[in-house]
Amino acid sequence: MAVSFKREIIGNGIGFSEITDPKFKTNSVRIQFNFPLNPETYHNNLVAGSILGCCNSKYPTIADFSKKLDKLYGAGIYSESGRYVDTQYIYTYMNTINDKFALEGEKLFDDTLDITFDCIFSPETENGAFESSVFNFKKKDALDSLEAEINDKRNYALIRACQIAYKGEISNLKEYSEKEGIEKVTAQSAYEQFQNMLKNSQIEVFYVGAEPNPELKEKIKSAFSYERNIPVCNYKSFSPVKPEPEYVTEKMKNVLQSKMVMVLKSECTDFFAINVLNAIFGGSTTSKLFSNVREKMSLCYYCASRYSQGKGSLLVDSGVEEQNIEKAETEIIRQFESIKNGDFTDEEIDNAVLFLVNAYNSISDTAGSLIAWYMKQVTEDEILSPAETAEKIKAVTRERIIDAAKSFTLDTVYVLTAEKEEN
Amino acid sequence: MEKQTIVSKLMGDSYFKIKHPSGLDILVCEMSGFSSTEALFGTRYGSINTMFKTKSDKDYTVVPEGIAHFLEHKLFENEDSDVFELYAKTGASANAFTSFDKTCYLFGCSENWQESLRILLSFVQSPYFTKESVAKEQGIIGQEINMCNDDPSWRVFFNMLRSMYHNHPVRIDIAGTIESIAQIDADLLYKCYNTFYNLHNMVLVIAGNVNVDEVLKIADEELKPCENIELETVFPDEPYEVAVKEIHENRPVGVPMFNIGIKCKPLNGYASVKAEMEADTVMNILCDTSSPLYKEMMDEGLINSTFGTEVFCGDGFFSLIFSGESDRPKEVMDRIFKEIEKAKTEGLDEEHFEIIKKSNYGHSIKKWNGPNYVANSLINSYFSGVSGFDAFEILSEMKYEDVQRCLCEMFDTENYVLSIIESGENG
Repeated sequence: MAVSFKREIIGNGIGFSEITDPKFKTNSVRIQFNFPLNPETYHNNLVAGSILGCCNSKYPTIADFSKKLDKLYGAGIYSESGRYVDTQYIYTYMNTINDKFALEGEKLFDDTLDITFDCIFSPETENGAFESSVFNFKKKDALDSLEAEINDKRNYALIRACQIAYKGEISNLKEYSEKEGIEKVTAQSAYEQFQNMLKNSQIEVFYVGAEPNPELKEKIKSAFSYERNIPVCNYKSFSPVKPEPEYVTEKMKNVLQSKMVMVLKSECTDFFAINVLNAIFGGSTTSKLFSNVREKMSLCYYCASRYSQGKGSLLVDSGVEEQNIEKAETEIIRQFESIKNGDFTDEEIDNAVLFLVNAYNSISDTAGSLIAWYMKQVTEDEILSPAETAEKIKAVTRERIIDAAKSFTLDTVYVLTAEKEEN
Repeated sequence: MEKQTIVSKLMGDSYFKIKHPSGLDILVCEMSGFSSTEALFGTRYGSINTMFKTKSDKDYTVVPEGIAHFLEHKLFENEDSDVFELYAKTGASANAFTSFDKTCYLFGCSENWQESLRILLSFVQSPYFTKESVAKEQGIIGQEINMCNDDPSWRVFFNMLRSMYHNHPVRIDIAGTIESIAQIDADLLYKCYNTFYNLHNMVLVIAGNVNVDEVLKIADEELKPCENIELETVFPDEPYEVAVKEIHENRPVGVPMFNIGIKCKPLNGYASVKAEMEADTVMNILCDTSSPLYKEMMDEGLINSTFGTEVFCGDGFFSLIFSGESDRPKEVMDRIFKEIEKAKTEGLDEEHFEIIKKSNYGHSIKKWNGPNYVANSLINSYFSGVSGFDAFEILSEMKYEDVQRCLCEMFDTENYVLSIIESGENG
């Protein structure tokens, strides 16, 4: 594999990661601002983050902006706000084809980078506020997205389960009065918060391309050379487990397939062992949940687990017929208990490790997956490549898997099911 | 063995197309520097293929809705093992899908692609259906049908199709209905399997960290030659006009969801792909984010970022879809149709056309940069009857006159369906 990764701290505490591989036909740059989650500023940051990638002072409407990017052979610039554990972030992401594909020798990368910098440092404003038509559009988007959460029942069930499991915690956005908070955001408050955020955030930049770009590093250093405070961002916030599991059932009209989400919590920090545990339990097509709960017992249409490292939680989500909910819950717990008791074969361990290693080794094939990988790695104590992580996974032992399993406790069971019509 | 190299001069990429003696076409794209491999073994058999015959049949056979999808599920059960248990030994991530016009079995991996390829070729060629396993699958697929029906974006789309098409099987849900799958038995599955899973009706596509000679060696060892049974699929007559112009459904959703569909005359092969590219370009000129119409609808709060367009076409069907969320979907439709009629008389924006052409060129290069996209693109092109680079070449040779003609010939604003899903009394 020819992927090269290099990270250094440049300028005023900016993490600059350069990932290169000659096979890529595109160049991608993600500029990310990280800062602590705070209900006072969350909503303004949310809306501001969505506006950045739409226009700037040189291309002040979405139409002008889109047209310019189309002229650059379909270059892409996007922006968004998100959350990772107790940290909120705003990022811009740009993507262009390599200059060598430009039919008239255009400098696609440099031009797109300049537009991206203008989005950050020279957004379209009026009287100290974001321009109103774009602001209104993006604010409506944020409100509509909130309302649309019920459209995807599987995802809705996960959101609700996490809301219950992480009650009272900083990362629980559902406690931030999302709708009311967004409604209060104005073009001015969002713009002012954005300016404040530029001066009070930790910056990570990720570049993926066919070859190194030393000019980019210097441009980043220069662009962010103004005075900044760098806040401490928290990327690990294990959720405390309740003394007894909490069971919540919600009914909704027109639900044909019930959804069940179970949250198990742990303070274990052997993340490699937990990843193998997850693959054995429910994170692959050879897992216990897939093979037994779905295939052999036909209790669920889907039944899978995933590990949320920052919160120290295993989430099991399943699509299940109403009459099978109780049986499915019992069987899922029984399968997990069997792992705690060491009831899994060496073959199951080998299969899980092979599955994970295959997945890690595929990460280097797209710019997007490489950026996602290293975005998470820079929040860890040690930055590992996918190949290095694969070696750590291969070294996990049966005992470590059992210890990891024993550290988990059931915390929450959430069920979404049909509201029966009254006769 | 006939082996061609198909080259794109514009992109500099290439792939091999091989006519294997077994009857199977094989497409191999060696992608130097990539770690992963993506393979798809597909048959030209989807939910629309409910009526067919072979050279040994006197009459056409008509089968229940959802049988292609049912077959896809059943093939994962071998007589003596489960396919996922076989893939567990290689570490590949395996899956399958059934769409309107094809069924594909696939895997992705970064190691052991040779063993995974053997598994893929072997299990798809080894059907095993019993009364008990069919009964069990009816329960599982019943759950899948319910899960899809819980998805309002699936419902708004299928409501539109049911209203647009009188008879063509594209109006049928891919998985069928609980009632239709209850009619499926092992004999029927074998009948459909033996008809459609004939290598002359199939293709193997593999892209990434592979070597064509190794692929062919495995193909030689694993493929079971079969005769060409001269399969014919037919569709009932379908009028040009839509069946019903408006359909509303109430169920819990956020903002109301809509699909506006314009029904067009269907085409085949290269002509269909060309029309698809032209129609897509027309829709972009009319209402992509750089269009005046988008700005107008955005400023008035008529649409949000979910607004998009799609050309939906295949064997016997061709439609243009505008979709999104809006409190006033009828008004969105009126604005779009007004813009279409205006462009027919005054002409589409020629500058915008040239800009979109440039953008399409860039998007094509961006996409052809990973095994997953390449493999899926090659299989879609194959089943459309064109080469993997034809779409790219059509885009680069497209002229303004082509899109203007497409607008005038295909965008019939009288032949539409408006499908809406919104929360209401019952939702």
